[in-house]
Amino acid sequence: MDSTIDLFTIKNSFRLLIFVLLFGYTMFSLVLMFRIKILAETLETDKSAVVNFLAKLHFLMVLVGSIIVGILIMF
Amino acid sequence: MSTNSSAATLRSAKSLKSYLARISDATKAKSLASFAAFPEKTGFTGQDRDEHIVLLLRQHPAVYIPQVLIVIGMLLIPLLILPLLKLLEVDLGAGDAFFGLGIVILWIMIAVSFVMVNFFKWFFNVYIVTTQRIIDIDFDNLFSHRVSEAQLEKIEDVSHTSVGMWAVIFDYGSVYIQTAAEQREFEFTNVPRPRDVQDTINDLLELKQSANG
Repeated sequence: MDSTIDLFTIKNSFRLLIFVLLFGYTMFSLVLMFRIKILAETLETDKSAVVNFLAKLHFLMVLVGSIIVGILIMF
Repeated sequence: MSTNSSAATLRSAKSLKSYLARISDATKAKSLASFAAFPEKTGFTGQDRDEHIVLLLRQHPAVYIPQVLIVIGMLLIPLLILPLLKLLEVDLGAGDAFFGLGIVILWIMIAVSFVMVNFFKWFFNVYIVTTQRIIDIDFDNLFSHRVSEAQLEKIEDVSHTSVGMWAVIFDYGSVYIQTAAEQREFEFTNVPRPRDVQDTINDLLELKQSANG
């Protein structure tokens, strides 16, 4: 019974909230990457490829960062 | 469009219209410029072979000053919280320290994303004036973008406004292009040198009308 009560601490609620946030954030960066890909095909400049690469890098940063943050907040 | 053909276009029409003299200084603008005349290695979906980009416009960078200040503020917050915790003599255990580090990393990631998203919005919110038409590429949010275009001969009225202190200091404003009935008005928002943009569109329209006889 005690362990059930411990599960619903303020810190655990925060953890749950952050996990939901991290999931949404990762999805956001994934959709952003695809949106940028479409726009880079619509407007072709010599920097479009670089911007497309930046969007991919951003997604990678969010993905790796989210995993790290997820591990850190579990402690 | 190559440099030679751009120069040829400039030379051939220089005596005819004022816009070429007004925008000629922007022909060497980099691809990350917010005001570029006859940009090289630039194209768009649906561009015709005989169609040349005359102006490539983006919002003036000064419009993004508030966003820059927000990011600086966001990055300063973690730096202020740690000394504050020390000042309040809050003793963090190992678990709390890891939890706090996770929050700080998340916060910095959000700040970086804020910069990236604003950069992408600036880069892809583009207004293009070609020898045939005007194109407005809007990237307002993650879930939608809109590409609008109108042929030059459909344009009925061009006007511009420059409102506010920053607009005066940095010389930017909005250009409004009214097209034929039942079509919406185009708005080139916060673009540099709005007078030159208006003059360019008007001159291109006159050239187009005279060519059509």
